[in-house]
Amino acid sequence: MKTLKNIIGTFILGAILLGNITAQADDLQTLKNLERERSNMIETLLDSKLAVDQRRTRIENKVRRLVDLERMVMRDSRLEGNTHNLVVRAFKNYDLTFLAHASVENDQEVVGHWMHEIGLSNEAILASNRGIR
Amino acid sequence: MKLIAPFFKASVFAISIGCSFASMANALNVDWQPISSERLIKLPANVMERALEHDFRKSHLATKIKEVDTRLGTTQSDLSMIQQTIKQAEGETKVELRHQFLEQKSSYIDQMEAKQNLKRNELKTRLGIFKGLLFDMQTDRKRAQDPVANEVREKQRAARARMESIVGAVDESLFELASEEQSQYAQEYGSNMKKIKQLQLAIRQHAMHRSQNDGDELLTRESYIRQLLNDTESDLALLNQEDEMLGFMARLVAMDAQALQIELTYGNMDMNYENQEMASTKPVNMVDYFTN
Repeated sequence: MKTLKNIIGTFILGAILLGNITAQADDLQTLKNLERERSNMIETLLDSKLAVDQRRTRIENKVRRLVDLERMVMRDSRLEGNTHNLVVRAFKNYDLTFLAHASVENDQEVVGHWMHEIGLSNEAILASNRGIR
Repeated sequence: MKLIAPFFKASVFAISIGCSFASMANALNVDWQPISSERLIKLPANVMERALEHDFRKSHLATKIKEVDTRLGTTQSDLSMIQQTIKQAEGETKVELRHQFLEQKSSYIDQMEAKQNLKRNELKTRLGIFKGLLFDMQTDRKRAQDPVANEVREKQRAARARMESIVGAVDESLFELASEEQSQYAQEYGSNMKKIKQLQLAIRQHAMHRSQNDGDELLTRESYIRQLLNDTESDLALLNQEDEMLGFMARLVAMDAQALQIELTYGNMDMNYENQEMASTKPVNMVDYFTN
């Protein structure tokens, strides 16, 4: 009987959580699109198989899309005061979330800006040692 | 398999109970299913009450109340007519009319009771709606006061200001990147934005907007709903008082009926007649016969 109660309780809790998650998922759509596009651009940045020109062309196309997506996120009223972890984190770090706009603001290429924000610099790379942490 | 069977049975049982509760709730509220508080809450305060009233007037419950009202009107005019006729009637006709008068009074009480029940149903539904609205508003207010949400809102405001200051420079840099013009989103957003500004201006200049925001006493939506709730509560209290009045009326009708029945059975007997007769034959009054 106790097991049955536990299972029913879990089932109800699960249903409620699922309902909440589904409702929130729609609200976060623009932000998720931006995150997807951003990660795709970073993948392109780090793709060693691409030639320099190829990479530049691809990134230019992606930046244009990224600018639109960043503006969409900023204008999305559903995100206003939303306390979802994804929203909180996105607005906590403007420079990393809104890469395209922040890079122009800092007068840098998107690649350079992203590397700077995550703490990668020529000096840091050169000063690094290979070894067991 | 043995373990799954009881769980399956339990879930089927739970679903069937849930369905029966839902159908019960529908059956209780079948006369008037008002528009949801989620829809009402979006309306301006002065329109909210009208919308609810409009919704009620279209309902089956309002039709029923109207029907009972019509019947009550007829009963009232019948009562007044019979009362006038009784004054001029005599004998058997008077007794018949008194009987009819009692019947009409009794049917008035029955109809009034039916109306009171319908009215109570209406007021309780209104109370439920207003309480729901207040609850939704209070939840929204609590959400607006949430410190985490406020912090996010603050950051969003700062981010928006930061982005707006750089939009021009970003567009220029994009123009340098490729010979293409602006993206479809950017173009359409720009033209839509111009139209939105025109619409916003029209809204600000609209008479409805002014009437919502002007006024000698600017009521907040919450206090307006609270006022409606209080009005409904007082209507319900008056209804209870009227119920008490109907109870007294019913008691009077019952007593009148009893009196009429006794009168018809025993007639208008003079209860002092026997006593007077008996009093004259008392020994004290007979003394004269014996002393002479």
